[in-house]
Amino acid sequence: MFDQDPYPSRKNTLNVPSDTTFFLAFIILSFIYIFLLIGIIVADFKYVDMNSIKRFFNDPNIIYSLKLSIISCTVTTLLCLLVAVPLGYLMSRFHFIGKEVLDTILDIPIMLPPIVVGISLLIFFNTDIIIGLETFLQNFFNNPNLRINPTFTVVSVILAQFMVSCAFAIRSMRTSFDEISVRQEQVALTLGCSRGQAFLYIILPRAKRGMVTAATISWARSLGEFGPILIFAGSTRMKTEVLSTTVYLEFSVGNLAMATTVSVFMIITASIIIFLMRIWGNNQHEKREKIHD
Amino acid sequence: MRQFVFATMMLIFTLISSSMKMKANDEKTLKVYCPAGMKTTFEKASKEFEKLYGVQISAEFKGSGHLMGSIKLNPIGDLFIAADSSYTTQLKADGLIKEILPLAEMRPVIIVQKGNPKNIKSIADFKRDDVRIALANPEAAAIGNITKRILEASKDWEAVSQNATKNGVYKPTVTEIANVVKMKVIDAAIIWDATAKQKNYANDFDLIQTDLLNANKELATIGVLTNSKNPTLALKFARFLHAKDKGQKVFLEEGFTGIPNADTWSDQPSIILYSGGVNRVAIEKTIVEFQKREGVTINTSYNGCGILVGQMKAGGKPDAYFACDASFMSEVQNKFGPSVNLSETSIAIIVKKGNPLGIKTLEDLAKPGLKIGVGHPEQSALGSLTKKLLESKSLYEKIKPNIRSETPSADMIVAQFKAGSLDVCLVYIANVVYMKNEIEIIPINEDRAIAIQPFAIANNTNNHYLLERFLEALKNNHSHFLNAGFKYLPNLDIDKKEGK
Repeated sequence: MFDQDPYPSRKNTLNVPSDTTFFLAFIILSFIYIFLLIGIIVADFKYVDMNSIKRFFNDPNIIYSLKLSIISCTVTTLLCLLVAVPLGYLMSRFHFIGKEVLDTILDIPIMLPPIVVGISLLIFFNTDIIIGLETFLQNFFNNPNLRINPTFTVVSVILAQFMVSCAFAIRSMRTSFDEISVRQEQVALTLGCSRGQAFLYIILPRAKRGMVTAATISWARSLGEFGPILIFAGSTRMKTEVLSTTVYLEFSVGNLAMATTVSVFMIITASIIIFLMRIWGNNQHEKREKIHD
Repeated sequence: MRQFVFATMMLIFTLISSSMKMKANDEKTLKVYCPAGMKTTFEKASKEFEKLYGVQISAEFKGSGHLMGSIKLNPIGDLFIAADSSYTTQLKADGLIKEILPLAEMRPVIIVQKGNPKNIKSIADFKRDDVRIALANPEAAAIGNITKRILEASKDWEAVSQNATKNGVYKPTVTEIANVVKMKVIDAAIIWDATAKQKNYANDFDLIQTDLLNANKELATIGVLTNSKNPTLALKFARFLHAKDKGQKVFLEEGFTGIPNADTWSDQPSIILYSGGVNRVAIEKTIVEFQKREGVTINTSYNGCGILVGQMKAGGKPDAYFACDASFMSEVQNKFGPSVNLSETSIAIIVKKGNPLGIKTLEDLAKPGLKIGVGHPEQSALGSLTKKLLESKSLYEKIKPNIRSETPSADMIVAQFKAGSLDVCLVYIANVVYMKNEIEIIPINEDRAIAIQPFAIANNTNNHYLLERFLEALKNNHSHFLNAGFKYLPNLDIDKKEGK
């Protein structure tokens, strides 16, 4: 990149200092982060041993938490898209009174420490209204074991993941709708499309890449979710234990080998899935670009 | 560009200066790992210490198991408090903890929502389908661990844990469990009585006592981390939390049960130790190290054991007694707790290098004209033991004419022997092992020649646990006993057990 100066005319000017310092400083600063990042991942391997790897694939508790993690993250991701696509579209296209306020509210899960989300969920689902509703339904259906309260169940795992991840998905979807020109949509409308048809045939195909990004973010955020799950779903083995809880519990026992093995496995799984999503997203994008050309 | 470089330099400067500041404060700061359930108690007790001694105490609050994990990964800090003594014991076995002090007792108890709406009376109700229960993860929290142990023993565990999984929840700390009962999300749970009685939870629960749970108590302990940069201050704080008139008071206020014979608080405790003269070489170094590490003073009175026993009978009140022979312990045993036999040595015949007089057995000592030195039969354990040994072989009367010197301490006989005024002396091997190249040691293979050194802690001492730690220090430094010519007994016990 240093070979060809894209601005050869600068050579004629006097007193232009060398660009080397600039690049050197930037590279050094970038390198510090990259070095740290790779360093902490590699360091994990120090504690990984064969026994832990064997246990990882044989311990029913851990297999359960692995399954639950993958399933819950996927379900959460689909739910996020279901909400983020319409909400992102509305926020991108329309102006209304109180939009700034709504915008701020939508960012709350991003600003808040995740643990606050957990506590708030726990409180919300155990207010008198929900408990009263549950009692009413139990009496109505004459079934004392009927539960609508998701607290401490698998549903609460998904809810906890959803509350945080969705905020990121909405933000991502909104940005991607912002980037899609309004003109094509308007043309479609003038040609006789309904709003729904215009969205379905014009906007949605163009937003595919944005959706992939949103899905990737949601999935990754959900996998990393920990605090709210611990508060709202607990750490019940074979029920609400996800991989991040496993790491926490194994660490609690002082079983570093197992904690790091699970961590490393999480890093590998997450990297593969995000990598695949990215490649798939890029292919889709290229295909669409070709069609449009 | 210049600004950029300047900003970077500022950043580096700030980082360096702040890390230097932290270093300067090291001497007056303590880092403590404390179980989440003991947070309030800990903060209350530590506040007074901080004020009294200008020390800054920073603490991390999590489940005991989790804290143990942190310490194993990165053993930085000074103290670790555990709600269950097994955690501190385990870290000690791993070499990450040096000393352990008990703090308080706790018992598991059932808590239910105020007014007990689900009418829960015992563990049996924990299996009911309509009862939502919370348990602590057995691997993460001490209370979870003990709950599992108790219920496994009573054969309730399977049903109860299944119900918790199905209708209830597991949580990694005791406070989180208390919280969900307080919020009425959960109907019943098992937590520590001390947690349930905390002010934060006053009037939040009904407590249900059951014989099954009551029978189990757990000891909260504090351990000093091996890596502590300031062990003396850490120990001082540990002693403060443990002390009857300091930390114990707070623990009692907060619903814990106290430790019955806890030490009394003193800034710098001072201990009186009576020790038989022969033991001096074996324990001297340990005493110096112990005093330095603990920040305490040990006033040791080395003397012939007969004299020491006489002093005790006359009203001398040592905090601990390390006798030169078991026979001098039994006379005063009622003033002391159980004694621990630490070492043994045996009487030998000591002659000049090359054995010019050709002495081989005790019988040879009756040869006329020999100049023999022995311990004083009344004033020293050595003398008494020597006399009994000779009497058992009917030699005492025969040898008596040759005895030129009877002294209250072996060191005096050895000094006389070295000066050339004695041909033979009968002393412990431990008395002369340091000069074994200048003399000949002729061992006596008789059980009666063996002296065993027991250590005991006085019943009325105010520093029982401090002395327990001293005893442990003696055991840890057993090489000093070996170097001083003793056999170290607790080690032999271990060998025997392993041999089985």
